[in-house]
Amino acid sequence: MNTCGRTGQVALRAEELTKHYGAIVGLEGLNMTVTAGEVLGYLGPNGAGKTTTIRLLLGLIRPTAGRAEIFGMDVTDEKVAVHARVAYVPGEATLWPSLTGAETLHLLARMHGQTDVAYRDLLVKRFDFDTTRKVRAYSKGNRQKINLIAALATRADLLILDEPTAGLDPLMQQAFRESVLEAKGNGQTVFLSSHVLSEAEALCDRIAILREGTLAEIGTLAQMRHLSAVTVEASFPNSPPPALDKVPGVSAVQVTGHHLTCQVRGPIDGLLAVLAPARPETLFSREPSLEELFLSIYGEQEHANHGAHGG
Amino acid sequence: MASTAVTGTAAGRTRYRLPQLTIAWFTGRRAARTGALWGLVFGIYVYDNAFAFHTIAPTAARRDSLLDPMARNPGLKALLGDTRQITTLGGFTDWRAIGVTVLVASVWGLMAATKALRGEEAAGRWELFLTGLTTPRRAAANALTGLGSGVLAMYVLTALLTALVGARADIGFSLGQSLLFAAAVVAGAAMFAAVGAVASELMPTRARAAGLSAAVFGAAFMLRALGDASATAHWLVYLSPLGWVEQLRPLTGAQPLWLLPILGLVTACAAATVLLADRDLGDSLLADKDTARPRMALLDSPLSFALRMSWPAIAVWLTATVVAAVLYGSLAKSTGQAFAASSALRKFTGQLTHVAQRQLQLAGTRVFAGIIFLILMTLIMAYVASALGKVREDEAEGYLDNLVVRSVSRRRWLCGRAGLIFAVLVVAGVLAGMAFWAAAASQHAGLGVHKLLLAGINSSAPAALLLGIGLLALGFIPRLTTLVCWGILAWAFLLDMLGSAVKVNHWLMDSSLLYHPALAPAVNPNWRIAGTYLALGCAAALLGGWRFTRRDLQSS
Repeated sequence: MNTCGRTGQVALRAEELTKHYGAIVGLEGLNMTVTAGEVLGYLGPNGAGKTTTIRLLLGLIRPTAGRAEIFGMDVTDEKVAVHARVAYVPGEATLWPSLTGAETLHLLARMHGQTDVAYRDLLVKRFDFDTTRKVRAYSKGNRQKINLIAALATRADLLILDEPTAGLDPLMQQAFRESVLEAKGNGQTVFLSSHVLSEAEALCDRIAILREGTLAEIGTLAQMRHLSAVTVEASFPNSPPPALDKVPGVSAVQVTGHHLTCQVRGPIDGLLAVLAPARPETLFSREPSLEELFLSIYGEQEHANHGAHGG
Repeated sequence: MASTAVTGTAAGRTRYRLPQLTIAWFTGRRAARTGALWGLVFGIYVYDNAFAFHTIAPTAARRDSLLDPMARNPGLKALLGDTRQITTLGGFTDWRAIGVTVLVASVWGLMAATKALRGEEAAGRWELFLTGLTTPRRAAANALTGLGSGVLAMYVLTALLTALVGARADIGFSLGQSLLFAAAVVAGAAMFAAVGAVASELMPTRARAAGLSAAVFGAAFMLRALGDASATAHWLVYLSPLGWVEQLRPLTGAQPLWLLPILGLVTACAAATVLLADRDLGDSLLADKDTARPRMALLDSPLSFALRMSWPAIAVWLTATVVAAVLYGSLAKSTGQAFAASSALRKFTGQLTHVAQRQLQLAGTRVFAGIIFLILMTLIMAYVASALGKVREDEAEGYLDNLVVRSVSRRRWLCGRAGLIFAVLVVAGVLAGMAFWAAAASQHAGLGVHKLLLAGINSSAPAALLLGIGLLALGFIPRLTTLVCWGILAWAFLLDMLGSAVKVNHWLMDSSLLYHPALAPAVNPNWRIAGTYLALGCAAALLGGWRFTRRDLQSS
C-alpha cells in the first residue's frame, strides 16, 4: 500500500528555521524544501546543527524563529498529526532495558499507531535480529536495529534518520541501504543525516551540507560537482609546462618529476590549450567524490576563517 | 585541509598523583557534600531536642507527670525506640533525636551506596573507570572509601554541633557523650551504606539494589519496633541493626560495646562487596535472564505502559504504607489507653502535633492514630517525590523521546503519568485507613472504619499538592524537579519536627505542607484545607502541564 505523499508534493519545508541556545547558535535561518519521494542527505560535522534540525522538525524543541512544516502541517502546532506520518530513528537510542526486543517493537508500533507486521517480520529476518533478548543484553548495533525495524515497518510517509547506521556492521549497513531503497521505491521520503559519505552518495537524490548552523550547500551531487573543481592528472615525456597556476580556473598545482596534478574549476579548454604543446603521455580527469566535495567546502571555510583572522 | 602533527614526549605529559584513588575522590566528593549537609541538619535537630525538653518539661514535677507515662507507652516505643530514662534530658534526646536521625541517615546511606556502585555501573561510567589504573576490586574498595568519607563528614558535623550544644550549662553533655551520640546517629548511614554496597553487587539494576537494601532496612525497623513495643519479645531488638544503635545509649549510661556488631556488619559487608566485585562488568550475582518470552500486556497505551514500568515501585510503596498502618494500628489500643490515663501526656501530644493541641478532649487512641497518619502523610509525599523524579528521569534520559516522536502527545503522556501518581496517592490513603482500622479493630480499639477511611483520604492531601508543585517545577525548571520535590518534603518534615517542640515563626510553619491539614482521626478532617490543597495542586499542575507542552524537551 502506498500511502505516501504525491510525487511533487512538498514533504518538508523549512523557512528561516532558527534555534539559539542562549548565545550559542544551533541553527540559523535554514531554508529548505524536500519533495515527496526524495531522499535527502543531510551532512555536516559534529555540532553543525544536524540533530538540532531534526529535533526541531519533530517538535521536540521549539524554534527561536522561523517555522517548518511537514506535509503542509506545522511541526510545532500539529505535532501529533505530523508524527502520524513520520518515523524517526535516533542516532543513539535510549530504550527500556527490561523489555525484550519483541516487546519494544510492539510498544513502539502501538505508540506510532500503525505498522506493517508482515514487513516488520521480514525486516527482523533481514537484519538478523533476535527479538527474544532483553534490551539490556543487546549490543549497541542490535539496539539500533530495533529503532530501524520499528521505523521502517511503519512505512511512514517521511523517514527521518539521524545517523541510522551508527554501530551497524557492514552487512547490516547493506541491509539498511536495501531497506531505504525499498522505501524510496515505495514513494516514501527519506531525510538522512549521516557521517557516512559513501552511504549518502549511494542513496541520496540531493545533498544538503550544513556548516556551523547554516546551510552551506544543497543540490544534487551532479550540481555540486559542476560547481566544484575537477581533478586533472597528466604525465609528460619532459617537465610539465610552467606557470600553470596562471591559467584561469586552475589551482592546487603539484608537479612531481614529469607528473602533474591540479584542479580546474569551470571550462577545462584553457588548461588543455596550455598542456597540448607539451605532448602529454597520459591525461586523466575525474569528478570529486562526495568526501572531496565535503572536505573542500570545509577547507574553504577554514581558509576563509584563517584569512579573516590573519588579515 | 591543514593537519598538525603533535609529537608527544614523556617529559611533556602531566602526571597525576595517586591515580589509583580517582574513584575514591570522585565518590567521596559527592558523598561528603550530602553527608555534611545532613550532619548539619542532625546537629540542629539535637539542639531542637535539648531545647524542647526544657520547654515541654521545665520542672521535675512536670517531667514526672508528663514524661514518665510515656516510658510505658508501646506506641511511642515502636515509633522512635526505647523510652527508658525519658524523664532525663539525655534519655529524651537519645529517644527522640536518635530515633529520627538514624532513620534518615540509614536511607541516605543506602541511596548513596547504590548510586555510587550499581548506578555508576549501569550508567556506563564504571566502564571508563575500570579502563584506568585499577581493578574491579580496587574500584569497589575506592567507592567504599568515598562513601566512608561521606559518613565521616556527617559524623564530624554532627559531633561538632552536638558538642557545642552539649557545652551549654543547662544541657551539659560531656565531649565523650557527644562523640558517641554522633556515632550512634551516623551508625545507620554506615551500616546501610554497606548493605547498599553488597546489594549493588547482588542486583543487576540500581532500582533493585535500592529495593533490596530498603527491604533490609524495613525488616530492621520492624524488628526494632516490635521488640521495643513488646514486653515478651524484646529480644527482637538485638536482631536488628537499628536495635544495636538503640543499645548504644550514648547520653544515658553509654554501652559502646554495641559498636562492635555495628562495625562487624560494616566490615563484613565491605569485605563481601570487594570480594563480589571481581566479576564481569554489568553482571551481578542475582542476574536476570537475558532472554524472556514476550509479554505484550500493558504495552498498548502510554498510561498502561507507565503502569507496567512502575508497578513494582508502586507495590513497594503501598506495601510499606500498609505495613506501617498495620503495625501502628495493632498498637493503637494500648497506646490510646496510656494517653487517656495521663492528661499531662495528652497535653504533650498536643504540643507534639501542634494542630491537635486544641482538641485534647479526643480519646487517646485517636490522638495516637493522628500522629501515625501524620507519618503516613510524609510517606505518601515521599512516594510522590520519588515518582515525579522518575517522570523527570524519563525525559532526561531520552525515554520520553521514543514516545512523543510517535502519535503520543506530551499532554497525553503527562496526564497519564500524573493521573497514575494521583490514583496511587489516593489508594495509599484509603489503604492506610483500612489497614489501620483492620489492625486496630483486631485489638478492639473502638475506632470506626468511616473515620479512619476519611483520615486516610485526608492524609493524601499534602501529597496531592506536592504533585501539583512538582508538575509546576517540571514545566518551568525541569532540571530541578527532583530537588524541588524532595526539598519541599524535607523542609516540611524538618519544620514539623522542630515545630512540635519549639516555637517556630508562624510564617515559617505556614510554608510546611504538613502544618495545615487536620490530624485526622484525632480531629475531624478539615475538608476546606484539604480542598484548598487539592485546588492549589490542580492549578499548579495545569500551569506546569501547559508549560511542559510548550517548552523544549531537556535531556540530562
